[in-house]
Amino acid sequence: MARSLQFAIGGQQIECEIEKVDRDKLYGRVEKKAFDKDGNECYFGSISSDGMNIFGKESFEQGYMAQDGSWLERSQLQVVDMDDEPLPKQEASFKTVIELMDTVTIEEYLNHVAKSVYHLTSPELLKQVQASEDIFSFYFNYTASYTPDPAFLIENEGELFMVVGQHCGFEFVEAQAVESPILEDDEDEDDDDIDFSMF
Amino acid sequence: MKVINIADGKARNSRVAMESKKRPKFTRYTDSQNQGVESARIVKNTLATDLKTLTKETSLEDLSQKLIDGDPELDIELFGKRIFDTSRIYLNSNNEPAGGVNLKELIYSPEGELKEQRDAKTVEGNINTEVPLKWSGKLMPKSECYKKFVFSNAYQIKHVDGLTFDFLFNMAKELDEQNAMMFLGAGKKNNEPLIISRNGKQFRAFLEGRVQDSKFMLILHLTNLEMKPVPVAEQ
Repeated sequence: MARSLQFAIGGQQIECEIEKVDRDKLYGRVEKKAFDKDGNECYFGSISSDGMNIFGKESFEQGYMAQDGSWLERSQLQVVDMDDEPLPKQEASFKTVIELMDTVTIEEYLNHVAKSVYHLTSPELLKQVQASEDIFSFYFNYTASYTPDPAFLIENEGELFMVVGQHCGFEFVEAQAVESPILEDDEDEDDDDIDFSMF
Repeated sequence: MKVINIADGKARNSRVAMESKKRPKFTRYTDSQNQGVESARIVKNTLATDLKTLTKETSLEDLSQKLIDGDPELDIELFGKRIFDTSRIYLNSNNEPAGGVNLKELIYSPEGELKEQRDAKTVEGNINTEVPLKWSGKLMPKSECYKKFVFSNAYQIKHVDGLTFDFLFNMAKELDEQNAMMFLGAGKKNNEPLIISRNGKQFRAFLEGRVQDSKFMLILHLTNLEMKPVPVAEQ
């Protein structure tokens, strides 16, 4: 079932259904699978560095240790920012009203890469976005978290989208700031993907 | 830092630097005394003590009794032990190390139906080959381009010496003046998608340039998704 967000703009409150734009559902997908010599499907396990123990898919658990070596429960942890100031946990955006007060330029939007995209259904909000010269921006939390992501409302061909992004940290460079490129190994990427016919 | 072989509008090319600089979120966990904590990977079980092995010759009902009578699910030596370095290994459906592994690609339609199965091939990256990435001449206004495509990755292209500063600065200036993004393709006909790393995803690419006084910013935006809703029948 589609989930809904509440937006507030110019004294008006607008409810809007959102649906994830899933690339697999637009273009299909490629899965890479491994088979042994008898044609049985294989999966990745792990082997210890001494070669003495083999572990399956769910053999490990993540834990947290204090500086004295004692184990900590998740509930005993707090999240702090770079200045060591504790961060409050912020509610999921579905439980709040998103105030559309800020806008950014196209260049500021292009300083981000998209982590996920949602299609929004709301003729009222679409009109507001179409009427704005700049791009509405706000912070979005799919679930409650300490660090919401920047999100943007984009209109394309009469359809409304929410792009959830990540800042890239690009900066202007000058002649003196010369890079000495150290060629990275051309390592395999694990992502397998299908080509698509955009053009 | 990666290297990209790129040509400008006059078909002059150079190998320059390219970096992804996604800004991480500056957060960390601390304990109640504001002291830093360390995350650790610990062993829960091994192949000898996981459910599949334990139920190989015993029914679930009989295993329940064995769990009451003893601790067959625990490896006393390893349970709770912190583990650092491990390597990946292929296991078959019987949880045994697999030999003669063959990788296959299974291609599914948007409806989720298996369309094709083929042997997986290694695909090399194509951004730093003999053939430079050329300007296609296909310019799209920025105001249109950002709406049409979802850019899921981006790299900043940087100079490696004084000559390449001028080379890239002029490219950025030209694009900035036109307020447009240039479609960039790989291959001899510069119409192939870009592959950044070996066996990496295929991306369509657009080059964006900005200039501020004597400084520039040249960004390679990568996309493999159009900004369009999933058709209702396919949702």
